Amino acid sequence: MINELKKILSEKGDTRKVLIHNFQNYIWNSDQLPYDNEIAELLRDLAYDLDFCETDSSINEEIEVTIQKIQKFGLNERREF
Amino acid sequence: MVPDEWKYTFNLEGKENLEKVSDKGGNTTQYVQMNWEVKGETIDLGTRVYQTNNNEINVGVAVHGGNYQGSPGWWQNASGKVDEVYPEAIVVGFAQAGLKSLTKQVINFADVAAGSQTANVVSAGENALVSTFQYDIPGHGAERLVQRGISEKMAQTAISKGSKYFDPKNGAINYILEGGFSTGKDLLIGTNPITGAIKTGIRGTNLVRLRMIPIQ
Repeated sequence: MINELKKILSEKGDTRKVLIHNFQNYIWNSDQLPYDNEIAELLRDLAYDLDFCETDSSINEEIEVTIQKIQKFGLNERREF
Repeated sequence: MVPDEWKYTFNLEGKENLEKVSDKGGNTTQYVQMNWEVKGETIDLGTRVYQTNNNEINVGVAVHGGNYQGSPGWWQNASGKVDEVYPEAIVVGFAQAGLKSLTKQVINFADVAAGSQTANVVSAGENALVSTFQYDIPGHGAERLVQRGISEKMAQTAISKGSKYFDPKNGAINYILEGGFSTGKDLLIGTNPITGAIKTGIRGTNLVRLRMIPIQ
């Protein structure tokens, strides 16, 4: 998951939009995410907050902060999306 | 004097910052010094105490979901320190004071204090029910709704029948219709609290976020 988020950070333009779209769809279409609850909540917060970001820099900031929190918490995931 | 263990700052742009300052409360008791930034000034909202583990995520969750009961007192202090008071700022401030439910009484208080401008905040939901929808960024909110297969009728249903929440971080009033789709998915319509214009529309599961404050 962290790699997927980092990929969004590294892309621009339409590719970035598609990656964000895929990430949000994955989060919103999953009744239960394959992560510990705290991390799942961080990812759900991010998917939602990205809808309110109006600039690339605010998108980057949201993603970077989430990655930092996930890394501090320790990602325990059972599968990638 | 040992400073509080954490320093939490929230501003009108929705930015939050949680910073570790000391180890005052050890691993079980967290002292969080709350700050509200308004127009370049930092207003001290006092210290809150949470019984939770000593890590940033747990403290962040506690700050957003704690049962601290705010009082108008701190806002009166705060409002005396700024030249101009924005209605939205008051609502955001109350939300950050820890009110779990943003009641009409609170908003009415803000309305009086801010000189009636806040009426717009109170009626944001009703404003969104205009026959021709308004969108916060021209084409932006509308485009999202189309992309996500959300019709204006669905949006209108969510606004009229959904549960209403305030999101202090993004400065939005959200209407969430749980199980609003035949698939069982929920529908969220996010609106501007001042104008009522639609910011976004989301269909999915588990859309209510911890930070969202129910509005009665």
